[in-house]
Amino acid sequence: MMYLVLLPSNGLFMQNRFIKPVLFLFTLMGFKPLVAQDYSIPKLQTSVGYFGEFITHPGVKLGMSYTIKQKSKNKKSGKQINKGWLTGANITFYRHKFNHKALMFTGYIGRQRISNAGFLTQLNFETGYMASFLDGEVYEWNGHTFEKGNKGSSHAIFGFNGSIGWDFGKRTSLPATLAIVPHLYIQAPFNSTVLLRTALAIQVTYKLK
Amino acid sequence: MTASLLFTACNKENDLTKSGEMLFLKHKGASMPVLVRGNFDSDVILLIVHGGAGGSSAAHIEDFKSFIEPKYMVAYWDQRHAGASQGNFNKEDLTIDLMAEDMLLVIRMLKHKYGFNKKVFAFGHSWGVQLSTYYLINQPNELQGIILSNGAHSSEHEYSAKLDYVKNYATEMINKGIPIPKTIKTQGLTFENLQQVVDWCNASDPIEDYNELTILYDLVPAVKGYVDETYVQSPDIPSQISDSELWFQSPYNPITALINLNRTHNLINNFENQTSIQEFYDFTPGMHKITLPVALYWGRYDDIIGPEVAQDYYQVISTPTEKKELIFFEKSNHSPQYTENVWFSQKVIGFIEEFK
Repeated sequence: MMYLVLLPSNGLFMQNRFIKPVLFLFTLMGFKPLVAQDYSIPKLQTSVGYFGEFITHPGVKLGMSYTIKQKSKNKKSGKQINKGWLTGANITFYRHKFNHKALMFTGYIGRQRISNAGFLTQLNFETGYMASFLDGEVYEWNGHTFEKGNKGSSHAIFGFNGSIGWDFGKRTSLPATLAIVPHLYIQAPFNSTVLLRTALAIQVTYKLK
Repeated sequence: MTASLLFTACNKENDLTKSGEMLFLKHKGASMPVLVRGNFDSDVILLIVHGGAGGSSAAHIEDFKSFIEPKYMVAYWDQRHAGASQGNFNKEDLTIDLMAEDMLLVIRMLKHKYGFNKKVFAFGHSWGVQLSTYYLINQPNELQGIILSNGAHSSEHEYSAKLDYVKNYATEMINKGIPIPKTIKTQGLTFENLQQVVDWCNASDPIEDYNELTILYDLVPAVKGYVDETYVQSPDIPSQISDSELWFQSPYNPITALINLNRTHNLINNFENQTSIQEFYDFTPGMHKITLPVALYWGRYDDIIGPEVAQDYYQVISTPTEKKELIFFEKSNHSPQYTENVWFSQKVIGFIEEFK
């Protein structure tokens, strides 16, 4: 029951209610509970996750992130808040069946905050390139008959995403985070204008360094 | 709410992404999806020409899946800059001429893909009637026949029918002692009772400008609630497709559809800027070129495109009498294929079987 001792007695009730069973589970799995006060955001992390364009059109997102700058604030109560600027790159692939498939190469910069209990929030600005492929048979008229048409098209993308999740490394020896990441981004060009897209990712990051 | 929608979406009883084939026509910057479903052994393909402009064929899947798809192939085409259409083109390329050219190529693509022996019929609804009519006048006809529902070919008749709708049902309400639902203020005028509505309709026939047209549109709510409640039945469509399934488990995306619709509205259907291609036009001079079998299946109580339009359409085309029919659906307003789905489907099958 060591984990109970390590939790701040004046922590938020909801956070404690959530983190206690999680820490207990992680303890059973062999990850050691840690004191939060000497924690720092990992310098280099890798990530993998489910990427759902409009939630349900499935894909995968792989990435690396690098912590540019960080600071931690230790309060008299023993609580520690970590804040950092992170940058990174992602490769994302998804398929909206009978509509399109997409491969996206993006870079981002964002601000991360980790509470004393490990609650993580992050807001990123992300931009990059999107190769989109029509998901079906494509025909083009050449003036006499039909030929198989090119499925691909190139687009710029830019937008925001925000993470809400948990940094387990703050309280246990598991150097990983789990977060839900809603995305809102613009695809350009699209028809005679631009298109707004949304997505929801569920992402795990793992400390490399 | 999102969780509820997602849960419902998981109940994929219609399998919108499992049955059928998706074709895309790439033409002059647009990549237009054509979802082909139904009975692939049939020698008939029914091409859906949706409304709008800027709407989507997705809404019609539930209209045709229960009775028509088991019998024929049905091709749900999303026009350029509409529904799930993709691409990259200049706004100058969103014209009815190019859309009619698209329609010809969609018909040819279906024959190229599924066999030149296939008989292609079209179903045009609302704006789809205007586009199909323009196609029949200006492009070589490669359709076997066409079914048209509640769309216009002449704004003069459209406005005349709308004036009749407002005037006649306002009079009926007066005779029954039913008051105007609420005071209507528009274009500097105030209508506090139905007699004022009737008087304005009598004084404004024919409609000649956007100002009068705006007033007419704003007067429709004075009677529409009464008409729908009194004459229009609840849809008898056997099974509807939920919004959640269309949003999350189909080839369509509501954000794309909304952006396409708004952009198309702004470019070619802009009532506010008085630049709509759906107002103050007349295709009548060219309609003598229409000679193929035509079925006009019209909701009687339509506040948008009334019965007079169908009657005039029937008169001005050159299709021989034995190859055209006009049927009013007496319990429907704008979408008889939805409201009276059972009878509508029977009529469609009867028409196709006769002329295929």
